[in-house]
Amino acid sequence: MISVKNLSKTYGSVRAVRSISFDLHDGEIVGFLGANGAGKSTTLKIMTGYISPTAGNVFFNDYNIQDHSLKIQKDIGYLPEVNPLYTEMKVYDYLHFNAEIRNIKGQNFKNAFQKVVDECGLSEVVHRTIGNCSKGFRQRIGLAAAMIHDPKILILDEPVSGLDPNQIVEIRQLIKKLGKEKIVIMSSHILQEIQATVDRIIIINNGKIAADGTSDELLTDASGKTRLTMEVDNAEENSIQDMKATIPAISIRSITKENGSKIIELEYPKANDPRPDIFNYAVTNNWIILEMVASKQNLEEIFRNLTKNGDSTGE
Amino acid sequence: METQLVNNILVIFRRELRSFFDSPMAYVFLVVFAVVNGYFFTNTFFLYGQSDMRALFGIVPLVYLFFIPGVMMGLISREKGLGTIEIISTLPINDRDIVIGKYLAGFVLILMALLIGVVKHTYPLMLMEVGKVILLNGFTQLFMKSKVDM
Repeated sequence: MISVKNLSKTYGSVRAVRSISFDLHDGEIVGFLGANGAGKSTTLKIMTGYISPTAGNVFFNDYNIQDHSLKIQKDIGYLPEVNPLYTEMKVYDYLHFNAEIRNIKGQNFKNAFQKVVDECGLSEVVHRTIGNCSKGFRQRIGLAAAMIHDPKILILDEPVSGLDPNQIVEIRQLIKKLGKEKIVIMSSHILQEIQATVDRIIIINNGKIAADGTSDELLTDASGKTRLTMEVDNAEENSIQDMKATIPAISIRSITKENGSKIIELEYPKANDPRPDIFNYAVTNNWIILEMVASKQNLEEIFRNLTKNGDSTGE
Repeated sequence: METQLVNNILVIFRRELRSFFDSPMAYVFLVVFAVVNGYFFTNTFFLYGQSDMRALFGIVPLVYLFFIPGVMMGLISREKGLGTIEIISTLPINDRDIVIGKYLAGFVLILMALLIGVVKHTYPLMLMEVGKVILLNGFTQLFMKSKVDM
């Protein structure tokens, strides 16, 4: 379990991270979502022990990263945002170097090497110099190096940047597979990527946690309301407006006409589901319900709402 | 614990030494070092007709003044430049092992350069003891100098 407590980081006069706290549990894939400069990478760098926090600490099973960094780093696999690599080395040598540092030798190395090469799709470049590999391959080499010691914690800063759509799907599946038994923390500013990959999303804005929850929780909790879109036939404008008086929980957002039918968009609080009442009202007023869909806000909308007032603070 | 420490230093040492030879850096260094030393050696050799090493030994520390920083100053700054300092700093290895490993790699490279000098400069002296020094020395030196100049 990872526990981040009141973590802050200041670069000169810039407050990159402002007293953030959260807990992460085994078997959890967590996505850090935030605009450029929100403080995602800074938080991840502190968690890996690369930089020290100005205040607060990160605990890995009661060991804090500042005092026990070497012990904790044995269990961490880290893929930095810019993915720096020793470009003059061959892929095999680079993975061998990473394994040797972690004391993985002999048959153990062979097994670990084969595993990461298969999982990251590196078989065709293992004897190639890293400098001659494409950006996509380099990203996968960085990922393979982070995974060679089968770490309990994987920290991936923008893991799919530079990959083509097919590779993105492969890496996403790999992260999901790894997330069943490890803690995987990944950051991204690509909403769809985060939504498709992680169990839990932490939205960071201006160095602070703006939202924390599963994708579904964020979609409903951000506004606390669920949106309902109905397409009804045989509905008078007056009867639609009267529905609000009969069912106070709802608020009508819009009514539009489409091919003779009407599209009604309304909202209701998550805790108070009025759909049976709406159905009964429609029956009483002889409406023909052609469609009724509860549509939640999309993540992009939530992200924009949560981050629109945030100024960049430096990542 | 000590085994791990030695292992870490050796891993960093091997990686660093190999990286010298994976790039033109080591070759350029060894050749230039040999050329510069060769120049100071052969200068005296032909000028006075003696296999006198004193002038060379006097000048080598000055040569080191330029060459050793050339090798050593990039060991950490190159990691920063490439950004690989972020990788190496998050590996389970402490700063002391990194510094020692890198220092040893630089040291061995300089030793290699010196070894080339030792072979090159002591060979004529060895020949002197068994005679035929002038002729053989001349040819050997020309041969060696031409190799260095290549």
